[in-house]
Amino acid sequence: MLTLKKRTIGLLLLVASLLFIAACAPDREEVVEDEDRAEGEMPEKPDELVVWINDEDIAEDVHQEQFDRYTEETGIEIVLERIAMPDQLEELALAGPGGTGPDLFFQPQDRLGDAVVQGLAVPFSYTDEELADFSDAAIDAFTYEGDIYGAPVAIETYFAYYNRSLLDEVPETIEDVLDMSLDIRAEDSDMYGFLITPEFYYLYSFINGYGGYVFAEEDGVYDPDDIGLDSEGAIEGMEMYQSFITEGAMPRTITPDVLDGLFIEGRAAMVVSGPWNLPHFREALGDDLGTAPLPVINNEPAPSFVGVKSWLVSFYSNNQEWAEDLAKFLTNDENSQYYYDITGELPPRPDILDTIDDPIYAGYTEQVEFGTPMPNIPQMSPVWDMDEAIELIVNGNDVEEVLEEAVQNIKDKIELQGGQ
Amino acid sequence: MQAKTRSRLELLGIYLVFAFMAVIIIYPLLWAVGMSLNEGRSLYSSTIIPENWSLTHYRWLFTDERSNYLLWYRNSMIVSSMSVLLSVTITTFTAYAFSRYEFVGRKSGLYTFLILQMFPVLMAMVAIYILLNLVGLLDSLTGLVLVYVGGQIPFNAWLVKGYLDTIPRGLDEAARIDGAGHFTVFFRIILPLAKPILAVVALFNFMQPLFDFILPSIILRSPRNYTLALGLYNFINDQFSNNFTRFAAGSILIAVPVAVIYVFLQRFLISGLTSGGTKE
Amino acid sequence: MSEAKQLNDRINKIKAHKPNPTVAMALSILFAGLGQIYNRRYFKGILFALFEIAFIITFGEFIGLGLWGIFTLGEIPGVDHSIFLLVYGLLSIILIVFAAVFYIYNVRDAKKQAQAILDGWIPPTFKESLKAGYDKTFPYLLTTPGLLLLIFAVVFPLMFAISLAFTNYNLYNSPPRHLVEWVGFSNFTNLFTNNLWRNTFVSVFSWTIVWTVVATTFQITLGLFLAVLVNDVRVKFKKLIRTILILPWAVPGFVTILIFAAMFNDEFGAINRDIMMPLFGLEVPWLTDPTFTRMVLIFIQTWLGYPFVFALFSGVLQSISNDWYEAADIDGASRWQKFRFITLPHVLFATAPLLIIQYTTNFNNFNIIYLFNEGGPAVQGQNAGGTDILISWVYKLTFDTNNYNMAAAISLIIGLMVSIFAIFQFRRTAAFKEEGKL
Repeated sequence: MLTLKKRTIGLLLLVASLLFIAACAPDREEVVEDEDRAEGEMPEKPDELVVWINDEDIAEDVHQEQFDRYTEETGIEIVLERIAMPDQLEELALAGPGGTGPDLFFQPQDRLGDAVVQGLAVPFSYTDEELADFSDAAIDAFTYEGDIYGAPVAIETYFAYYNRSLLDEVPETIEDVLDMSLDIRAEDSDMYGFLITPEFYYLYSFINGYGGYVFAEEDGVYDPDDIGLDSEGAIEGMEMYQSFITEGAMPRTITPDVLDGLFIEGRAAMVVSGPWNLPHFREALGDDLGTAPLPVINNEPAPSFVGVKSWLVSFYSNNQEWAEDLAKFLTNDENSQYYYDITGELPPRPDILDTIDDPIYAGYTEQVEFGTPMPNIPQMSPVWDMDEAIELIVNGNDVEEVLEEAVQNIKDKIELQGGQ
Repeated sequence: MQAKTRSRLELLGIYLVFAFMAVIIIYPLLWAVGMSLNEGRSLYSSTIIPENWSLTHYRWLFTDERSNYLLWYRNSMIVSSMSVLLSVTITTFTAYAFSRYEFVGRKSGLYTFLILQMFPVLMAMVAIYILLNLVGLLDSLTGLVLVYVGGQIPFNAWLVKGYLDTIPRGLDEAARIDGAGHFTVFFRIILPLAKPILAVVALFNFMQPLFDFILPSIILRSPRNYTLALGLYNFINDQFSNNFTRFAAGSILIAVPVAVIYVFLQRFLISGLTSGGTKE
Repeated sequence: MSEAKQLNDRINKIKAHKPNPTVAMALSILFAGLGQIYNRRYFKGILFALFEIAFIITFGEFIGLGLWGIFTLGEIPGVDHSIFLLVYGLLSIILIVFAAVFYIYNVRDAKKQAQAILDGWIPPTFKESLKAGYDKTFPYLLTTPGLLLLIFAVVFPLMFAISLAFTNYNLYNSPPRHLVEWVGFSNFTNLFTNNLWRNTFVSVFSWTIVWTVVATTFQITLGLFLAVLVNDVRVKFKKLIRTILILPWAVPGFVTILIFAAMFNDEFGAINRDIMMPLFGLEVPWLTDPTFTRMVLIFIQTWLGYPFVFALFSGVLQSISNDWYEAADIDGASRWQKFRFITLPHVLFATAPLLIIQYTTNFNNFNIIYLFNEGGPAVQGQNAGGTDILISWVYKLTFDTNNYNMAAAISLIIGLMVSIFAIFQFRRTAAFKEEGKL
């Protein structure tokens, strides 16, 4: 054991050396802009670019082919890494400064705010002609504080699938849907008429259909202080939804997994789901499969959340210009068409959308028109807690009370996270 | 006569308890096996006695070119074996020192770390990430193993020390007098006697990495480097491709050998634990 | 003859040298090893000096950056990354502590040996001192690898977590766009003054305590009960029964929890569909009603946890000497009395430390809570799910909402509570008292 005195000496030594060294701030290289480079001229080509794609087999198939095309054109090798989309931002925040991050990554627009607030993504420079090729909704979805942050790859929304063998006629309004469901349930309790996953993403249609909203919006700028999820419209919409449960038209716990399964087995006449299920459903139901826009809610075509997925350029990329070039290449007409051909997801490019004549896409393309982009500010993330409120509503709690409390919670959380 | 009847009734009661327990234990396990033999992918359409028996999921795991299952299996085996090797060595060294030598920090060292380890440090995964990145061990099995080995030392060293304390000191002192060196005593005398507790430590260290998915999910990035737990977890965690039946198949292929090992080693386990972790 | 002369020469030479301890100490403070060289312990001196040179060359720059980093957490957003700087700073501090330990040893050694030489001590030859050094440092050699790993795998992350609790690191202050700052105790004050934080903390905390106590006590009781039953002399097929009873421990918990989660699915799980519906015509909301979810969680944890206790107790029961029971029989003790006064004290006394660890493990049993229902179902008026325990709440704060600062503050509080409980209990149990001080 050290004696007290010696400990003190040691401590003094330590502190002295600490202070001595601590004074050294790192030498910083003066930030020199490459001024001698002419406007619009590209910097030297890198040998390779690293791209993070979503962790899906089909994504790898389609992107690999696109990357090969780019390599052929420019000679730049593309390193593909599969990282699940929901994990990419978190990984990037660590891998980027660690020097192992990507040049280009892939995100939906509702995470854009998180990315921009942390400074992980850098804006694109688009010419007006380039912009004209994309649909406005897609560009809006990736505009944040006036800058455009992404090269949109796909626009998607959910719509109605139905099984022709169980449904003679697609019910037009949500009230019709309820009646149809009750009829089917009355006949055979193992069958379901209409299924929608009890998640805010889907039920937004009910809320917005009656006039509820997430954040008040003006000229593309959201006001996180004005939340309309407990407005009269929102309450009315959720009560409409709740009646499906209370009247026994829908089971209480449906997961997307269960919903898909029931529909594939032919035990559900009509379900709300997204384009990612189209291949599975078509394989299972064949010609019996039909699609339609969502039923009319409150005398208007029902709105739905539109999601846009996009390539983003990493702040940590050493080749931001080339990464942007690659992103633009991946979303040009030719590659967008290819992406659609393989995945069946719609590219937000009107030229391509117009050429799609497969009737199975009718519901999808029609529904996109009624869509509202999901808010892309980071204050959106506590809003997904609405899923929990929905769980409570499903379990029979009073809608108004639940929503009021949910909104209060969301506001508190936004504040707790420092978002106000 | 009456006492005998009573005793019989009692025995019957005891067996009934066992039967009841057996049902509760075996039912979920059987159910999982049933699941894995269902043809479909989702939970809802599967039944414990499948309508269509099928080995599709097993076949997929082994033969599909998309499947990394064998790689994961191999990775997990590497991580677990390396972790066993390293931690048994380091842990026994540490425990041996604590049990037999005088040195600074002997009295409270082990307990201090045992206590420190009770602090949950989930958010410090970030720090581990940065550290491993700094030394170039990110996305590598070695990095993973080192973190596991470091983390298990306090508890296991404590167990082993408890066991070593029960080995009479006279044995090694006699050997020292006969001129045996530090390591000779350790390898010739202590190690053979400590086998049961080493088996316990080895088993713990084999199992722990096998079924942890949090740490690998931070450290390992490329699917080719995944360990089994992480890969399996992704089967059911993936939002758009929930694959419970495939998960069940993949899990059974690892759970069965593990269970067999446990059952075989249970004698060791019990004797090791009771003398290492307890004090009479 | 000449050998003896050589030795004599050597001794005379050494005796001629009269080092001054203070000078030796001062020299060693100036630069490691100088004092030793002055003492004419050349090999050691050069070795020490080389150590210091190597250390400065390898780590000097890194430590400079690290210390600057941990004080300022960076100055220019986008260029400085506060979190990386924090980590570098912590690593620098660890390195400095290593260096300080070495340095203090070096200084003390120089002074001590100078004094010893003055007092007439004859330093051993090189070979001898190597041997003596080996003997003396052997326990350190044994523990060093373990210690190093421990420092980097346990202490360093803990330091990081502690640091974060005093910063404002959350989504809105994240690098690279922003710099993280030191904020003192404000996270802790926030936790106890802000209503939502406080309510959530209180309710999560109370459930954590209930969970820990009930689940652990159940698994211990069941384990003990079964162990006593199997130990009954009249029971046959002991080996088979033991094997079956130990199965839940043998099957990986990670897998079983997920299987249970599927079985308890409200509409489509086997429990409701195959058991509750046909037998009772009931559909129990296992996953959507917090009370039911809590019950199921406790059931599953009992299922998962009892075999360990069972195995442990079985071992101890076999070791209880029969004399005790025979003596009790002579006194005419009832079966209950025998259990209460012989068996129970025996097993509990023998296994106390391991049982305490069972409690602390369950307190932080993240896997079961998260894998079963991700802490759900939702309840109103709080920032966590209805079955979230502290640790799973911390996980959500970290990975779902990037509230690193609050997660760290809560973790610290959890850690303090668990360790105080553990220290208290360890000290109370005889097993640890034997060890002396803690």
